Amino acid sequence: MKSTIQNFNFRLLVLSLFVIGMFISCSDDEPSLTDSFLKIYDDSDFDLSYDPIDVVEVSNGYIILSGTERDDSDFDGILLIKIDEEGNYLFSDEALFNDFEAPVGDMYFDESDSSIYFFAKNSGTVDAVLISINTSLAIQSTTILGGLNYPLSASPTSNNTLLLQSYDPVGLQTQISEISLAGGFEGGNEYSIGAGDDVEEEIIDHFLEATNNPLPFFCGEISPGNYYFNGFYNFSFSMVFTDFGGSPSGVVQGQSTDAGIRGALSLGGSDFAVAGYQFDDNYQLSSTTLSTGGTTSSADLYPGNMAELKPYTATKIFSYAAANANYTVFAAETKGNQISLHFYNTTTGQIDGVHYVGFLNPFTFSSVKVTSDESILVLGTTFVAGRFERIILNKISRSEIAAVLN
Amino acid sequence: MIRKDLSFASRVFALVLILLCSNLLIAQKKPKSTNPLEGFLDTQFWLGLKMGGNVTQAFPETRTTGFSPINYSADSLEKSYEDFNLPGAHMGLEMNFYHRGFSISFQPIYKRSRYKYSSELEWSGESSGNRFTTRYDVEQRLDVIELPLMVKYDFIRSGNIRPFVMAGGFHSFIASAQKEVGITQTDFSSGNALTSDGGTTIIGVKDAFQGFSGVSGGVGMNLDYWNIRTVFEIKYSRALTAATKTNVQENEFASLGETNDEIFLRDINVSLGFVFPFRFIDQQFKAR
Repeated sequence: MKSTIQNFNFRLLVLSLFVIGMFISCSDDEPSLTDSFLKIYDDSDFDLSYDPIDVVEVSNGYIILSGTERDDSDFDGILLIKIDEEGNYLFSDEALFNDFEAPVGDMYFDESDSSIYFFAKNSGTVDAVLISINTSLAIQSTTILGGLNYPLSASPTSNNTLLLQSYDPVGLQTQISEISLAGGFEGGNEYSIGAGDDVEEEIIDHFLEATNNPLPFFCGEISPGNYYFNGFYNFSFSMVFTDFGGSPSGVVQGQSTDAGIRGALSLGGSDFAVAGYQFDDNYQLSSTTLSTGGTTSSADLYPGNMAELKPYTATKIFSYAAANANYTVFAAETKGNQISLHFYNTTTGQIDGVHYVGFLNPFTFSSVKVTSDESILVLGTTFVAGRFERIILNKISRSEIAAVLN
Repeated sequence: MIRKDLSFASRVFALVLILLCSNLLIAQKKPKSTNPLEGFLDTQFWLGLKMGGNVTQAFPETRTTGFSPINYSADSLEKSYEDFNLPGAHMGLEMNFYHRGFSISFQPIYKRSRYKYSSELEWSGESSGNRFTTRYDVEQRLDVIELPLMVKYDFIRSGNIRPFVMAGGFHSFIASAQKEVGITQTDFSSGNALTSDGGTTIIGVKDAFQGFSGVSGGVGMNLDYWNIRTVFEIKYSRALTAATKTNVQENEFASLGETNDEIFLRDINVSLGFVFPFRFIDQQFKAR
C-alpha cells in the first residue's frame, strides 16, 4: 500500500511539473521589438518644433532627415537623427544646421558605399545643394548645383542617379534635372510656370508652413528617359510628363493650387495610382490611365470625395507585397488627425484593409517606407500634450499588417 | 494563428490531465485503519468555494517608454510604482486531496489585480513662463483566471484547528485588462502654476498582456466545526514570467508615449474557503 501511494505521488509530481511547464510555454507569437515600435522623439525645449522630411533604413537602424526652426532664417535648419533598430534615439547631428536649410525628400541610400543623399537649399542664397552623409551622420560632400534653385522634390532613378525638381525664381520656370551622385548635371530641362506668373511667395509659404498646407511637389520615373513631376506649370499646379525635351510630353492640369494631384505611383506605361484633390475633397484611384502624351484635366479624374481624409493632406503611395496579395497603399492624414494607410488590392482594386496610426494627440504624416524585413515605416509628427510638435517613427510589422488585411 | 490554436489545445490538454489526476487520486485505496473516523480523515477529498482579497506589486524588470528623448536622460521618464497599494479580489473553487498530513490542492480562481503608477514630462523655454508639465496617473486592472497547484502540509493533524503551510506553482490566463490614464497638466505661462485636468481615458489593453506563471507559498489554518471545514490562508505569489508584452506598442496609449514596462507581478492574497468532504471515498463510508 505504501509503495502504491509513493508511486502515485511520484506520478502526480511529474504530471504537475509537466502541466506547469506546459502553461509556461503557452505564449503567443508576437513581433519582437525590432519588428514593431512606435517612438516619439521628445525634446524638452518648449519653443522647438520639427518638420520631418524622410527616413531611410541603413544596416544598423534608421536615419531621419528633419527640419527644425532657426532663429536667423525663415527656413528650417537641417537635423539628422540616428535611430537604432528598436526605434531608440541614438544621436543627432546639426553640422549642416547653419550652412544649409529647407531639406527635401526623398532621401536615397546607396548601399554600394553606404552613403545617403538628399537635397537642400544653400543658406543665404536660393541655390540647390546635394548633400552626402554616411551612416554615422558625418558629412561626406556638399555640392552646390549652379543654376538650380529652390529644391522642391527628389527621387532616385533606375540609373543610380537622382531626379530633382527645383524652381527658378528669376526665369519663372520649374526645373527638372537628373543629377549624378557626384553632383553632376546628367540632363533635364525647364518649363515656364506662365508668363508673368510668380509663385515664389507660395513656394516660400510651402516651406514655412510645411505641416499646415504643403504643396504636393513630387517627381519620379516612368522608365529610363521618361519622367514626371508635380509642380507649377503654365499657370496651374499640374502633373507634367517629360523626356527632357523642350516641351512637356503630357500634362494633367490642375486648377491653380486648388485642385490637382497630391501623389502618384507609376504602375508601368501610362498607368498610375493617383491621389488627387478637388478643393477640400480628396480621392484615391488605385489604378488609372493618365494621358502622358497630351493635355487633360485632373478634374476629369475626380470620382467623389473620401470624406475621411483631411483637406490638402500630404499623401504618398507605395507598393506592398503581402503574403497572399499585392497592394497599392495610400498614406495620408485623416480629419481625425490620424495617419491612415489604405491597402488597395492590385487585382481587385478593392480596399482590403485600413491601418491607422495615432490616438488622442494629433498626428501628421511626412513619409513612409517599406523596410528590408517587409515592415512599413511611417514617419510623421505628433503634438505631445496637444502642443509640442515632435517626430514619431512607427514601424508596423508584417504580422500586424496581415492582421488588418481581409 | 497556429500558436493560438496550440495554446488552446494545450489548455484543454492541461484540463484533461488535471481531471485525470483527480481521477487517479479518487481511485487510490485508503490505507487500512482501525479507527473508521481516523481513516476517514487520513485520506479525503475536499471540495468547496474560496474568496478573498489581494494586493499587488508590479515589479518592472525592464523599463520601456514610448518616448525616446533627444536632449534629456530617459531615466527621467521612469514610472513610479506604488506597491501593494490597490486592493483586488478573487473567487473560485478549492479542491484538496488530503492524505496523512499532505494535501494536493487545486484552486482555480477568477482574480482581479490592480496596481498604479505615474510618470511626468516637463518642457521649458528661455523665459520662466515657457514651462509646462504633464503628469500621467495610470491605474491598471488585470483580470486573470489563475490555476494554482499547491502542496499543503498540516503540521498539526488532530483537533479542530489544523494549521498548515503550503507551496506550489500557478499559471494565469488573461481574461481582460483595462488601463485608466488620468492626465494632469500644469501651465506656467501666466506666471502662476495653472493646473488643469487633461481628461481620463479608459481603454481595454488585453492584447498588451500575456499569460504568466510563477510560484506561491503561504500559511493557513483549517477550522473544522460542524460539517464544514473553513480554510483561512495567506499566500504570497511571485510571477516568474512577465505579464506584459513589451513588444506590443501599437495600442492607443503608445500614441501618448505610454507603454508597459516588462512587469512581473507579485501579490499577497488573503482567502477564506469553505470546503466539504467527499465522504464516500471508501467503501467503508458508503451510505447504507
